[in-house]
Amino acid sequence: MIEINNITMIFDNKPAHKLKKSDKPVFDEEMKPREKALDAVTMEIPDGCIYGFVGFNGAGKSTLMRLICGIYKPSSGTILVDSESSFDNPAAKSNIFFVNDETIEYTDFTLDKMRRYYSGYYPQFDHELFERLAYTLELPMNRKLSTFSKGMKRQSVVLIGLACHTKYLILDEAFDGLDPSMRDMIKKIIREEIKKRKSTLIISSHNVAEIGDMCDKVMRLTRGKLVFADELENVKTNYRKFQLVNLEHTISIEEIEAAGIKPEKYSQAGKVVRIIVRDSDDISEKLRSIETVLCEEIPLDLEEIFVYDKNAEEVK
Amino acid sequence: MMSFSRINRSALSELIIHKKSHIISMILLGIAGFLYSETSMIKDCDANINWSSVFFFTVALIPLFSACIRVFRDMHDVPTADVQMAMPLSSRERFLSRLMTICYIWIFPYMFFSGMGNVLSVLFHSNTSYTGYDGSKIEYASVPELFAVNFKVFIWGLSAVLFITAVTVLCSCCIGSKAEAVYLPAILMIVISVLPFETVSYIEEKFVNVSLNTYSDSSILQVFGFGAVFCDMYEPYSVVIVLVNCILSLGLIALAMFAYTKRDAATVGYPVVFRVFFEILMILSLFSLFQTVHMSSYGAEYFALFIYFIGATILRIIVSRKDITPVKIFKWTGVFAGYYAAFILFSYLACITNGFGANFKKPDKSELSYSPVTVNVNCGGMKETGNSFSYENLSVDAIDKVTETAYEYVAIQNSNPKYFLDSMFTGVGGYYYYNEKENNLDEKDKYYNCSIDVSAYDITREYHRTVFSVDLYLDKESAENFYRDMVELGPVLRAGM
Repeated sequence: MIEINNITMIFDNKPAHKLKKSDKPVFDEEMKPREKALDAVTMEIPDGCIYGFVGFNGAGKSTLMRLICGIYKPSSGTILVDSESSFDNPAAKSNIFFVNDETIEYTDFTLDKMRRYYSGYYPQFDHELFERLAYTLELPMNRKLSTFSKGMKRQSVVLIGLACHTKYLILDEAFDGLDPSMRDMIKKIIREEIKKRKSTLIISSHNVAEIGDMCDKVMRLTRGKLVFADELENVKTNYRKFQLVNLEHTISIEEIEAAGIKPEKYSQAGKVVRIIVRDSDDISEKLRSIETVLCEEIPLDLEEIFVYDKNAEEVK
Repeated sequence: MMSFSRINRSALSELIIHKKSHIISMILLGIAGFLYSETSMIKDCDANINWSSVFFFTVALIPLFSACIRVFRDMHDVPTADVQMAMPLSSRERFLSRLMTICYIWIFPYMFFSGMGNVLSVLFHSNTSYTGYDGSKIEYASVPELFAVNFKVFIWGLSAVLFITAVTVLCSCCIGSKAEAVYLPAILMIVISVLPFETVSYIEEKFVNVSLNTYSDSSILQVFGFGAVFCDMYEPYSVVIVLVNCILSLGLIALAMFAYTKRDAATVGYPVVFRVFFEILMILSLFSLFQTVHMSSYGAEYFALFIYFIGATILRIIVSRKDITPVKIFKWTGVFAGYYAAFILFSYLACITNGFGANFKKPDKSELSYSPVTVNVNCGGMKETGNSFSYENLSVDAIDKVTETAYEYVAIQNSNPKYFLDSMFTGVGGYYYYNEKENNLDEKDKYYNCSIDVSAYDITREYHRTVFSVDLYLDKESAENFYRDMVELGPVLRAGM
């Protein structure tokens, strides 16, 4: 289990050219820019689950992942991986494999060279699995990664991550820029392997649709602050999506609001109206007061929740 | 708990990435090693080192420099830091594994090929003899003799290798960007090697009248930096100097390890991570430049200082990247002025302490194997007494007697009022300056330039060289006394023969 206790991460004096547009630097007493990348984040990642980190660019997902891997030292708070601090601790790190959001550092490698490189660091490296997956994905072993397509590079890195056979596999923006068929194929392989060996997968994305369908649990960060961290199903219950139909006329937003409902989103297609609302005890009763021929609840995906949360945040 | 097997395993993994550097180094060092096998030594003579092998060795230092930067690129490359710092190693193990990688790429091949060159040279060129053109029998040195010389050459090379490694690794650990990892070590290597010699020359020229570089104890300046490479390998103390040089480089590597373990990936990308390191580099390089200004550009000091200020500011602008404000430039100007003030203070201390007491040093007794000794005495400008005279073919003991008399007059000269600013900006102790303007001065302010040069034939090195020299600026009475004393010393010096 990974325990994250009150983690704050501040990048001191981050140079101006290093700040992304999305970064919101704060200033200290001397007016030096200080970027609070994470602000008092507390959560737990249980064993054997697939945990999704969602949030927009610059929200702090990658920083949190790097803290878990011991790449950064937290400014305050603790991160315990199986009850041990991961920073500067080879024992804890030997259970973690991190795939960052870039593959540029591997461009000089061939897949075979990567295998030799990583097997030196991870003695438990699974050569049989590596060969099997490379064959399945049709990845050439002796061609430089610089000649690979972006998708092939990501496949290669994920393949290495799986072959290192660590208890925790951390993938940062692993599916970014992949076409849907390739994304589905990698997802399938990862899911199968993770479930088979009961490992924990932590996966991040700014595009919730990419990972929403594979996570057991999900957390969301906004500007370094934890918005929620829960079971995917529990997260979804905070919002509900309804489909309303009136054959006589299109139900207007005023009509809905007159029923005492404040929709987070209203959309219409012909006579069919869809609304997303925050859950409340009396929502069904209020909906009944609207004249409809059809009123049904339809599934809400994670991406929709994500968008509405962002809107709510901006309104604040 | 540190694990050697983990360190070694990871070093071997890193070697996969640096295969090209490894192969290039092996080729260059291999050629150097084979060429070194041509090194020979005729009995009781200096070794005839194959200089082509030294050339190839020097060329091979370029891939070493490059390898040191690339191996430690986790300190200045974000994607690499992500990969490497996530690996199951502690920061200390990671540092040691990087060093081990450098050993695999360069140092172990150097040991192997120089060892091979040594063995081949001993096999081909020892314990044999041949007949010269004149029919005389020429004998090569014995195995232990040639082996000892080869071993010295090996540690000479090792001192340079360790120095380059230490400085480059230290810079990589103290900075966070690739550009700085390349040019800052180059600056630091030059500064460390040059500054001690330049400081002594500066003090000697400005505040001391006794030439220091004729003493063997100037070799102390070679204990760090590339100076050791120029150490005379036939001197008995030279091995100690080179070994100390190696130890100091190892000390610098230990310092680098300390810096390395203090860092995480959050600092990767910053041009300078440890500001103290950068400021030390700045102050050392500026001291070196200030000394050059005051030694070489009489009358152009302020222009040269302005140029240096521009240079230092450009370096700071480069290091600050785009983060420049007028306030910062103002601050840097203040820092530059502060460093120059520190330099003035240092010079002032050198002036009032007569070069930190350096002008009362005597030639090392162990060097007194010279024969015969020549003493030249010169009292320029004293029309009444004439100019110069000399004693030739003296014994080694004469040196002590001459230095004794010389130091009496150094003490008299030092009791004269000091003109610090004149001596710093114009010439030796300010005395020369006043001497030049003698037409405008009272008799009591005039100084006469008297000098003693002691030279001898150095049996060990087989050439004639100056072993002691002193320039004195004395008032008229003291100059006359000096002249008389030196004349009267003649019979005493000859009596010792």
